[in-house]
Amino acid sequence: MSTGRTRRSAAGREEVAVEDETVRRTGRWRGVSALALVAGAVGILAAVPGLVLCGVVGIAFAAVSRSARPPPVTLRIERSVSESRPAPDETVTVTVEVENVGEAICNDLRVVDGVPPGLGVAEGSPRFATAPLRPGETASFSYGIAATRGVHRFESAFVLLRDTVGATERVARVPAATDTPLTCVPPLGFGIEGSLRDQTIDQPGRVLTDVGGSGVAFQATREYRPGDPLSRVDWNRLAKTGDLSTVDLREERAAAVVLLVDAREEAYRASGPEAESAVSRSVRAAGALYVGLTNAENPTGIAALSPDPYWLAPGSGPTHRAQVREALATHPAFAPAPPDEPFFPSIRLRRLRRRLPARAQVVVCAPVCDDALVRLLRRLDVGGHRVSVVSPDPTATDTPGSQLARTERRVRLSKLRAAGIPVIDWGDEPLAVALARAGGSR
Amino acid sequence: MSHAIDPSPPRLSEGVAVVAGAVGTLALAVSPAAFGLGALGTVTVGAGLYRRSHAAVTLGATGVFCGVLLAGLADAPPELLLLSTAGTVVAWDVATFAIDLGAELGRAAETRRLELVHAGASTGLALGAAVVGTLVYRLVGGGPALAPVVLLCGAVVLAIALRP
Repeated sequence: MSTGRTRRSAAGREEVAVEDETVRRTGRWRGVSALALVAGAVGILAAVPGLVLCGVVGIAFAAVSRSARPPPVTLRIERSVSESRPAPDETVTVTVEVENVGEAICNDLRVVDGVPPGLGVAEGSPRFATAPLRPGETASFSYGIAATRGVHRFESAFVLLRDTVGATERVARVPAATDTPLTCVPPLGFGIEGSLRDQTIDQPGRVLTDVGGSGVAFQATREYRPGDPLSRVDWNRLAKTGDLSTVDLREERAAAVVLLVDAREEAYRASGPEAESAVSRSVRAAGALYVGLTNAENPTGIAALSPDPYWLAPGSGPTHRAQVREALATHPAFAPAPPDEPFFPSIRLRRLRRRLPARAQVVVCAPVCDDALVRLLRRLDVGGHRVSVVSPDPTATDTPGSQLARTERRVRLSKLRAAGIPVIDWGDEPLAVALARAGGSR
Repeated sequence: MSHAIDPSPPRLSEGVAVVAGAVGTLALAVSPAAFGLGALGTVTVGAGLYRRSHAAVTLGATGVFCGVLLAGLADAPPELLLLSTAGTVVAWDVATFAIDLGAELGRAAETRRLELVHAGASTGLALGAAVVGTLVYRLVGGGPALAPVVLLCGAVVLAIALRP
C-alpha cells in the first residue's frame, strides 16, 4: 500500500497523483483448474477422450488468470461543474472526464466519483464503468447533484482497474486535476419576529421595558418632579383635584442580541437519513431571526458554538447583513458536515463571554441533544446574559431508541425552562408557526 | 437527497449469462438426462442472478458442467462437449461479474461498454480454447490420451509465455 505519491507516467509529460493504492488478486478463477482436473479424471476413468479434451477450456482460463497483471493507474481525472455558485436546490451537472495518460490499455475501468459529503445525487449516477480505454483516450460521464447551503468540495474519485478476466485488481483514489468547489449561499429568508427577554441597551427600539419614561404603554402616575416634560403631565387629574402628577410610560428600547448557533458535533442530528440536520435548521432559524431582529432595530450579531469559532459583533445595516448571509452559508463553523476537532466547553464559553457586549442577550439555536449544552446555557444565563432558546427537534419516534432520545430531550428542555430560560420547541411546522405558538413578539 | 443504490446486476450481462448457459445446455441435447441437468443448472444461474448470490450461480454452473460429464459418458461428440463447457464457463464468469458490478456501481450506472468488452473477452477466450482443442484433437487423431497431454503442455507453455 502506497499513499499520496506522484508518479511520472512513461510519456513524461503528465504527473498522476494517486492515493491509497492497493493491488490484490481477486481469486475469482481459483476453482477453474479443478474443472479441468475433474473432466480429465472422469474422461480417463471412463475412457472418453472428449471429456479429457473439455479440460482445455478450464486450463486456458487458469493460464490467463495466472499470468494476468493489473494495469497501472495512469489516469487523469478532470471534473467540471455547470454552475459553481448555484442557488439552493438547483441541480448542478457534474461532468467527469477520465483520461488514460499511460502506456497500457485499461480493459476494465470503474470509477466512483467523490461526491461532496452532504450533497445528494439528483439525477444519473456518480458511478461509471468503461472499457477499453486506450492510451490517450478519454471517457466521460456526468450526473446531477442538488445544491444545498455551504461550500462543498469534491473528494478524490475512487478508481478500480481490473485485467480482462478480472483475476487481479488495483484500487486507488485519484484526485481531480483541478479543484471545483461549489458555493451555495441561500438568502436569509423573511424576517421572523422572535420574543426577546427583558434585557435592553440604551438605544430606542421596540422592546417594552419596565423603565418609566416616554413611550406609548401606560405604566404608572407619580409625583410631578421639576423638569418633567409638559406633555406627560396628567392635566385631567390637575383639573379634578389640583394635584400635579406625571404619567410614566414604559420606555421602548433596543436589545443587543447575539444569535448563537450550536454547531458542535453533538448537534449534527436528524430524524432520518434523508432529513435536514438540526444544524442546518438552526442556521436557517438564525438567518430568519437576524432579519426579523434587525428590522425591529435591534443590533444583532452571530456566533457559532463549535470547535471552529465564528464571531460577528452585533450590528445592523446592509453591509452587516451581507456579512451574515455569507458567513451562515460558507463559514466552516456552519458546515453541513460535522467538525472533527474536539470541543472544549469551558474555554469556548469563556471566550464567548469575553466577546459578548455588556447587556447583550443571547438567542441560542440548538437541538439540545446533550446535557453539556444545558449546563453551558445555564452558566451563560446566570452570568448576566439573558438566554432564550429556539430548538429544532431532530428526534423521531420510529424506534424505542429514538423515543428514548425524544424523552431525554424533552427533559432537558424542561430543565432549561425550570432555570428560567424560555425555550421554543420547533418540530416539523414552519419556524414562524412555532414562534407564534410560543407567544410571538412581546 | 441521495437515493439508495439499486444493487441489481446490469441487465445486459444477466442476459448474456443466461444465453451462454442455454447454449451450453442445448449442446447437451444428445442425452436427455444431461439436457435436464443442464436446464436445471441454467435456471439456477438465472435465480442466482436474481438473488444476487454467488453461491447459487456457482451451483448452477456446476450443474451444467455435471450435465457435460453425463453427456460425455453417453458418448456425445467432443465438439459439442467443448462448446457446452465453454458455455458453462462463460455463463459463470459473466454472471459473477454482473453481480459484482451491480454491487459496486449499481444498476443506474453506465456500464454497457465494460459489460460488452468483458462478455466478448470471456466468450472469445472460451471459444478460442475450444477451437484450438478441437483442431489439435482432429490433427493428432492418435491415441485418446495423446491430445490432452499435448494441450496441457501447450497451456503450460502459454502460461509461461504470458508471464511478464
